[in-house]
Amino acid sequence: MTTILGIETSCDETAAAVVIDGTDVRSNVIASQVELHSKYGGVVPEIASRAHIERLDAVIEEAMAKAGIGLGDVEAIAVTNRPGLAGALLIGVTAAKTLSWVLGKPLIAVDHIHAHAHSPAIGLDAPPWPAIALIVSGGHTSLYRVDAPHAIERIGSTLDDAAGEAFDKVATILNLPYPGGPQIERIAKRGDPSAIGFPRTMLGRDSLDFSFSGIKTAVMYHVHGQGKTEGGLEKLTSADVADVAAGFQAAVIDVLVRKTLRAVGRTGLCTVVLGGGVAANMTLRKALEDACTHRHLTFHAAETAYCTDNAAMIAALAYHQLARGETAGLDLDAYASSGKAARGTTRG
Amino acid sequence: MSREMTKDHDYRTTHALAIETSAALGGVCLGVGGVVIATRTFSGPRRHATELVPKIHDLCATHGVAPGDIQEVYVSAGPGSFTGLRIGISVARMIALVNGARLVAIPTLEVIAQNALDDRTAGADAASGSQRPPSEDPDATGKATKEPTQPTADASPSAAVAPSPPNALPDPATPPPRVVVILDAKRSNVYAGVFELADRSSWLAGRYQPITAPAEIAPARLFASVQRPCAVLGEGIRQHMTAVNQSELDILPYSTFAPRAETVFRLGFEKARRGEFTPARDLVPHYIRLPEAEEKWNQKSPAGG
Repeated sequence: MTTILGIETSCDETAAAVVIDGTDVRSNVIASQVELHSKYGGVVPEIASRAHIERLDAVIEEAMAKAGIGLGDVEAIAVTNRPGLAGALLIGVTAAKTLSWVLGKPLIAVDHIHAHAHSPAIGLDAPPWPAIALIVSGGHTSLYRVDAPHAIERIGSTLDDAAGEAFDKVATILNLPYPGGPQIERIAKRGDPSAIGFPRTMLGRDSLDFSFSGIKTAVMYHVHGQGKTEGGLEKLTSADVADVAAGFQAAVIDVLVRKTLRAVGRTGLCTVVLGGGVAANMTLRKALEDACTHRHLTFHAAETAYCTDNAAMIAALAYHQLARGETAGLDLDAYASSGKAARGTTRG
Repeated sequence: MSREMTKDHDYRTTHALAIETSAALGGVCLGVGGVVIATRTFSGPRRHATELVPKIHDLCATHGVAPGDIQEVYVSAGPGSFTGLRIGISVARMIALVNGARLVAIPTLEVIAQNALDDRTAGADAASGSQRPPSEDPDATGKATKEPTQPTADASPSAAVAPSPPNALPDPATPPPRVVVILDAKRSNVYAGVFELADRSSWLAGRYQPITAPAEIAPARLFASVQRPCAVLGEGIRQHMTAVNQSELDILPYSTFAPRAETVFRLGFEKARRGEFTPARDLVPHYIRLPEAEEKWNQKSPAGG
């Protein structure tokens, strides 16, 4: 039995979790900063870093208390060290290194996106691999081929905006509060998804990459007028706004589903998993599930608790890394991007 | 003296760490009972993220101190590099979380001010202009290109108290009675603190004590307000050379500009004995300034929105 404390501070959630053997989540504490960033319409890195340093130790204590154990019972410390906001990541990374040193326990460095790709496996009786993983969030929209927790290969990603980012930007166009994703989904329920035919950008026939800037621009011109960047919203009725939200959401989901099925066709795999913050969107979950069912594919979506940024997924994936002896040194750094070329992206 | 001491009978065996990560070059210091055991300076600038924890590990392992033995942590709390400060404070708060170690926040400008004691003879050299730091101020040429913004003697109340220059220190070997520490705050401002050498009758003799709270200020306004004789030190001199030259304050040598982990240790131990601990949950960097996004927001909606 291996008890791992996970720590996650890559963006605007301060999170800690205790997970046993990679699947048994004993606690999953998330201190959201949404209220700090909402008035700016997006995450402000310096405000995120300030909140992380103020909150992290209390979040860790709460995670320990909810799991009913003490820090002395922890057998390893896992932390997100890439990708994310460099200054925010460093707070979690520094805290994890210090805990590793003081407690004399191994340190495990986890890739945030790999943890999202692995998150649908949490709580399953049997691992779902191999599978195609669609990860959709405010910062990422990617397709992965996951053969095992340690064999995660990216096969497609967004060339411009992430899907969640497009949701936030369209919410801003429609003058909806931040964060925009849940607001779009709420309003779209009252709209007709086929009333406005927003473009589906599929790129090349073989491409597994995504592009959402075209849809965002189409919404902008639809609302403001061709070539304009403001005004026009006052001319729309609430039913019109609902149709815009529904049409936009349908276009994004359509692209996500079709690209995922394209990846299935390319690889011949029979399982699809869904994770990331936008995976909390019930319309997306249902659309992808229906498409998979129709094609006799197995489908697993991450539990909503593991969709938004969280530390349970960090500790869960870390269990497999620890089993393979993949531990990090106390000189562990944080990186804004996942690539090996990311060296030097942090300062401090 | 004893009146100001806390009842802390075993401080002679207290193991403590001092962390300095506010400036470009960081360091960490291990000591026991107020005596420095050893110090490690990082291998280069901006290495806080990768080197702080390994250096602490190395220091403690080399000197047979277990992590659990660390009872106090003194940490340079700013102003300084936001990221650097958060790295140091994150380490301190986690040691407190596990060990229950007590934390002391040390004002960074106070750490730098103490350097004026160590380098007083060198300071005399600098005052004569023989050891000027490299300037990054584009206006810092020999002749002023435009009329300085320095207030007139009439406009400055302190000018009436302090007779106009000369700002000559009485003796090159004597530490300046007063120093002003400046760091660049961008936007033509500095973060600054003014310090006075404690009187010999004080138990703080040999320490520069703050007489102003650290603040963001325009350098010309700052220099007009400080009583002479006074010397200036700190990294901010490089960016604000024109204002520094116009102030006619003595400039201490470049070697005094950086905060040192040993000084954090010394000040930390003294503050700890006076009971000046900060609860871990309250220990945050002394940023002085709000995040830029928040400042802009407040300017747009002064009511506080």
